[in-house]
Amino acid sequence: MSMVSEKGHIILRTSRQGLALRLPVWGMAASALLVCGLVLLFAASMVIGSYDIDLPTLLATLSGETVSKSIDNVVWQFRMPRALVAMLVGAMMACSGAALQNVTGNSLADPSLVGISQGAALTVVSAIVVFPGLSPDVRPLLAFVGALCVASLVQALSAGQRGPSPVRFILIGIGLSAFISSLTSAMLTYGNIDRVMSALAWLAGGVNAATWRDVFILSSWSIVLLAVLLLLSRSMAALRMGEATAIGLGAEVRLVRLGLVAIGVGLAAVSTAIVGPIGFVGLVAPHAARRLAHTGPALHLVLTALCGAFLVAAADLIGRAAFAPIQLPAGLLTALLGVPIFIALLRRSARAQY
Amino acid sequence: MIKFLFAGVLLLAAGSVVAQETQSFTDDLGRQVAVPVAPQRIAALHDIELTVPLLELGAPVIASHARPGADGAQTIRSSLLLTGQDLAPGQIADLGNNPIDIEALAALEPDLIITTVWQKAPVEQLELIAPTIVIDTQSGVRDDYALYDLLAGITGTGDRLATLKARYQAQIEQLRRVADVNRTVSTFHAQNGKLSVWNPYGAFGKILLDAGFSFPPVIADMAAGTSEQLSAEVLPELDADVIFVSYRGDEGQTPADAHAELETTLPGYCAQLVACQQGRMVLLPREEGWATSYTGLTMVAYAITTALGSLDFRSFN
Repeated sequence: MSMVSEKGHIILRTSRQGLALRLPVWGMAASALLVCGLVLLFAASMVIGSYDIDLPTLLATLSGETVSKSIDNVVWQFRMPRALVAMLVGAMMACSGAALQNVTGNSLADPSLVGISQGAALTVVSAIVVFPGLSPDVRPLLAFVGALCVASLVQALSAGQRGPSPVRFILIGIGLSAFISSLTSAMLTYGNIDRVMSALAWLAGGVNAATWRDVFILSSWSIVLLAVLLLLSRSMAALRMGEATAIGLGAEVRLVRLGLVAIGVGLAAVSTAIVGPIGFVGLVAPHAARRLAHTGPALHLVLTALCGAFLVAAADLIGRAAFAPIQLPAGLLTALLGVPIFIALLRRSARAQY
Repeated sequence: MIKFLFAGVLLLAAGSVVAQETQSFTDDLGRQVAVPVAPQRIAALHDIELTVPLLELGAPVIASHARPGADGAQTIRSSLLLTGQDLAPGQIADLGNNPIDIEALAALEPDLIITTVWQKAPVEQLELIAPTIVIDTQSGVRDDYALYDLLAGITGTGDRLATLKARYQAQIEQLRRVADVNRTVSTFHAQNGKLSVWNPYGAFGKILLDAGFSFPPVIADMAAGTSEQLSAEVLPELDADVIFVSYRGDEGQTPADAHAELETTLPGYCAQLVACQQGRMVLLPREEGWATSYTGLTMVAYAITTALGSLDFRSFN
């Protein structure tokens, strides 16, 4: 194994030079910084909260000792699954946004903005209200079907005679999203109260309701979906240069597009199925990652996932601790950050179009 | 001596075990919950629907859902006016709004949590802290005041409830004796360019109904327990022998604000209402009559009795 340094990159080669890896130094450094930031944020999430737990007690509890049943509950049942779910959901929503932006060639594509999360929400709420006996394990699958239908519909409706337009895509997405949300509201209005209560708790953007079961479901799905997304990253690089160039470079464009849509929708659907819609993470995180370091698609995806995880975990921590006992939902804070960025990107996109 | 001390400690321990004796209760979600027979540390997760009734019943509430008041500070809505109690450190702790702060609740170690279907804090988390009862206050499972019977049953405060009911009944009898219950009455308020109408309109409506007054058809024909936002054009249909209009005293409003809101909703509104022209429109603060509260009923019953005794009905006779 040899290592060569070259203009901001490190090149790792195996001894017979059969395999070489070219890594951008700043990209790697940014990833390492974000990982450290996430570890610190996780530690802060364990320490900070309305239930006052001193550090020795916290460490004793984390080592498996039961100081009191209440402290066990707060650390193991409330704080830890909540922090992990926030990070996993953030990473998944962020990568969903990155995949959708790549496949649509639209820097404004965000699963919650164009109705994909709302499509997932509608199918899950319908299932909870109409088929209350259905196992919660089916929810990610139902969410995927709902989200996929909406994604296909938005794509089909926004494909005009002159080809797809980023602004049209967003406007149709926003319209469809509002329509789907009204259907969800109607379902909640006319549903049986105990089923509606269950649906509402889920729909509230329930990072606050996170359980270990949610951690397990999210981590299982994210391992599969993010791994496939990373495998597709080479073709994503080719797609960035346009369809004709991508075909010229030997990429299976149709297959890659299909795969990216499925993965993007799948990531958004699963996270929505667990915590409800959380907006703007898929929009903000890919742009933040690009600003942090210009890298290839694979490392950009890693940076995007880390940015998304940091964003939602920080939003949740601030939301639950900054104004306690008043609890602000993580989605509110991500929207506060996301809306100005969305407007700036929309203006830039509109200027580029005309 | 040590033996006596030891025996004393054992007796105290036995006493606390007795205090934790439980009874089975089926809540509005159909869950079977083992609740303490005499709870000592109750957390109520809806201010106006649970905390106020529990405080009136004399139940030991140690924590409550709350919301920002007119000055932005957290408050138990209507509670200071009706029970004399509000959030106070060491007495009634603030749990936040919706969802409540689950960690703040855990820190207080309640022995019973009473929540409603409106509260977003998940029941699965709440029941890790203490036995949790969920009450449906939204789909008309029971009359507002039937909630008192339920809460009194849970908290063992039936005697107190009987006293509250007896006092209310005496006031209704007094109102029937003082006023002519054959007159028609109307209750509403203007808000955001619409006329907000309930059947019945909080404590105001309940008292008037219980005393035997009748409402105009536009209110009487509404399903019981429902509300409607009516267009300003319907105002003449809300006319009656006496009109009761309310204003938000808790938000610093005065009777002048109620007039101003009506004027904004329908300029020259008074000309559309005979009761207004003849000085039989009574303006009352809303908070006392909005919570589900026997104290509120007492206050409003007295105000209505006084108002009806002061109005000039000579043009009718």
